[in-house]
Amino acid sequence: MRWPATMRSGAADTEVLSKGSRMNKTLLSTATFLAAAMILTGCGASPNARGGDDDSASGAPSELVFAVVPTDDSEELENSFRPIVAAIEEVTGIPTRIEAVSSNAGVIEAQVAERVDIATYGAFSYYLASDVAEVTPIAKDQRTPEPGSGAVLSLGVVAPGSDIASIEDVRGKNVCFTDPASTTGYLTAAVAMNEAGIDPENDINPLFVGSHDVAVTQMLAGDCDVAFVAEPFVTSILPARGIIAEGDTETAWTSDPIPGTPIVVGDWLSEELRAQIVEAVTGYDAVTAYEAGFCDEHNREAPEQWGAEYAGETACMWGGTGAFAFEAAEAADYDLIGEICEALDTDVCRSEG
Amino acid sequence: MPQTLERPPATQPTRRAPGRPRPSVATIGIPLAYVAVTVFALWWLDIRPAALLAGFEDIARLVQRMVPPTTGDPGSLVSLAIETLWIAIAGTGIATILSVPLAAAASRHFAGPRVIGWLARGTIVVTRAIPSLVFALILVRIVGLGPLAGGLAIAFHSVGMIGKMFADVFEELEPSPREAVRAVGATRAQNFVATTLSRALPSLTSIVLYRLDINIRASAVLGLVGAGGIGLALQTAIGSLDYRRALGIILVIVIMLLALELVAYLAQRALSEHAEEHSAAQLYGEGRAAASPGWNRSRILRVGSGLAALVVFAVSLAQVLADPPSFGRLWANTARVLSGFFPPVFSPDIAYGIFESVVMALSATTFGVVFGLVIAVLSTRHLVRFEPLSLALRGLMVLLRGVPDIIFALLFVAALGLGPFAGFLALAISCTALAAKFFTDSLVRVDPAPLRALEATGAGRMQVFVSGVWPQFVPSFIGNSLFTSDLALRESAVLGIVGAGGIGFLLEESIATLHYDTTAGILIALVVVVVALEAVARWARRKVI
Repeated sequence: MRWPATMRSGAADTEVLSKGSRMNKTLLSTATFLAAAMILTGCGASPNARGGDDDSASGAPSELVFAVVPTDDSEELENSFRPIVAAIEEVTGIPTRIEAVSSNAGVIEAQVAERVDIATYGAFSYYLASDVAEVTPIAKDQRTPEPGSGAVLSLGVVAPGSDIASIEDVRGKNVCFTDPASTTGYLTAAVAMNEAGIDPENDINPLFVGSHDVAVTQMLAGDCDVAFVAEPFVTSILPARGIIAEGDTETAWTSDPIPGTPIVVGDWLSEELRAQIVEAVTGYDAVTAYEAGFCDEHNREAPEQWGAEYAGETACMWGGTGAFAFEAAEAADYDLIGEICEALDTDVCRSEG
Repeated sequence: MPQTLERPPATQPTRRAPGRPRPSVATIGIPLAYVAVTVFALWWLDIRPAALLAGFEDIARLVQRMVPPTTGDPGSLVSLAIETLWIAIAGTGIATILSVPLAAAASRHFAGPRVIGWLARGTIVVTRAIPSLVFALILVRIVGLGPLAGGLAIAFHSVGMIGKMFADVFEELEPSPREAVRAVGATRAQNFVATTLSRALPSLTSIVLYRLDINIRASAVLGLVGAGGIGLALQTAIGSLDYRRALGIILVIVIMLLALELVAYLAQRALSEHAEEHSAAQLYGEGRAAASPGWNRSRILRVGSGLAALVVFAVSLAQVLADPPSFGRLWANTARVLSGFFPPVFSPDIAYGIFESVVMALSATTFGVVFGLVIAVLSTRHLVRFEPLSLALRGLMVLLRGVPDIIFALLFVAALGLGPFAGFLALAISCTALAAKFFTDSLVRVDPAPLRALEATGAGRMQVFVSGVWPQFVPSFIGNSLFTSDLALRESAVLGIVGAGGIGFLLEESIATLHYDTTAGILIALVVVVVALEAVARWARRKVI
């Protein structure tokens, strides 16, 4: 508070100080601040400094941007992607910045403007992005050493003793979904209802509650008769948080596997660079990444479901879902979402006409 | 606060006779502090206007994808909009009722037990610091899905702001009538109703209407957690990149806000017409007996609009309570949900996030206040007397307030990429709209007597503004600026959408991943910051009032 004090004594010195000169003094000190800022700017790079915007001409970008969106079951987003970014930096030699973002729309629009080079978000977000942005999935997560283990299921869960035992029984019931643009929380279940001859808009009373945990807790509280949510919520996340206990819910319906979280790369990057990114992402698994020194600070013991081979090994948190590795993926892996959308013809699918 | 400027208080400090009043520490120090933080932020956030210009094409391309707006099924949209309106009205009404006693107890003039004053002040600060989304999240668990959770979330969060502003109004009232009535032996409650509440009513009305405006926008996000209203439709439209549908929904929200602005405008005109009527003879018509107040046009109008407001509130309550929760499970649920918040977890990440949010909120306020002031001056009659301009500006501000921050954030992300700059710009726009509204409202309520006196001496408009309007406006200018920061701090949640750092992303992530202990830590840190801002604001008020 030195400035105000100076200002005040200055004003007191000159008894009949005019408003004009007082304003000049304020202006003067503002200018001083601005000058100080310029010097600061000259001296050090801001912690939030962006790379140059003029990278398209020279070929190799001066910086890569890796955007991560929390998927339904991700934790500690930034920390868990840091080892992957370290791998990308090592292979490509280009500094890579992580942006943790809470909106898929934000990331997709940045991709449309070619301002996000690598991104990871839900399968449905990729389906939307592929419509408007020039992007390709290069990898998808793999939870255990088993290929294809990154796929998620959608479950229809009910309270014990419910009279709903299959998808046919939901006719006329109150049904909790997460939101209309969620694959596990709405779309797959709606397709299944369609196939069973139930119109998911008119033959049931749909309630969109915004998130998987609320869908489950409000189903148990009686606000709806059945809830459609992603499987990890029922089997691991909610029990681990003490929100539900084993036996609180029964599963009335299980979907076909839905492809797991993709890592998506912009087509505007050179072929060589894209190949390097694929190599970085799929070339390591959580254990070899630890051995390569990508996660000296944040690491954990290999979880049980990775099998005896990895028991006792130290592993990185490899991606938001704590995957074992990423396996190569291609656009065709996600055709399923397009098929769902064709079958449903719902609002969320017809985004760009 | 918009209600500040009834008239200069009688207890002015004695100052050296005819010379110009010296500016207080607060009037110079606070703006300077803002400028200093802003300059730091320019470097910290790497703000470069040239980058924005370079991304202009990308903004244009995105805007093209937003037009023309579509409505989907108009029937369901309208019914959702009406549900949103009921949620906002019920919430604001409940908050208003709770706020009057709270504000009276929190005011500096409260003569009752100290503990009650502290409790009231504590309640006001805590409820203000907790975002309505967090309230909604807890309440959905407690009272179940639906508009009741939304309405209560709005109510709890609004108590903080309405209570604080009411308390400010009560403090600014001239003390003499209160002392006079006390001297004749009235009880504290009688005294409060007869002297404080009655005189504060015009200001209270504009606060409530303003909060209703904020709440209509706020209830548009509550859909996110199953709390009812138009929010879910908007979130879904944005989440599925259906911007034309989103724009259609936003237009519906803007239309609601415009209608409300019209009501606020008419109410303000009616009230400021009577702002100078303080004696019973002016406020009431001639009664039959000597001491009984009678009816005249203005009293009928006042009572009539009051009754109408009550009826609307009652209807909205009935709508929100249409599907009552099973009260049996309320207690068990409350205990279970709240236990998830203990023990709160703190981490360096939280401290850093809060620091970033404060820097962004303060610097966005600086920009907002400067632009808001220009807009407010242009849309009141003090300098420029051109009615179409003032109406156009008011309309533009309603439009800006109606468009959710995420839309601005998306536009800037397209132009600048993810990062703090985009978030900061979105925040600066919402601060401008907020500050412009606050300032316009206080400028409208400037006491006209000194202005007329100055005009009579032949002063030009600029001179009248500098010598007549500005000195009256300074206290509310400082107060409103601090309050805008306070709101900006919570609006900074938008920054999480674009990866702008700050506390917004951490808060949303902790909620999405069910780490409520972290949520609790963040909320406590937010309360601390809001208390600190509040302390500065109270100190400033003592200096300038």
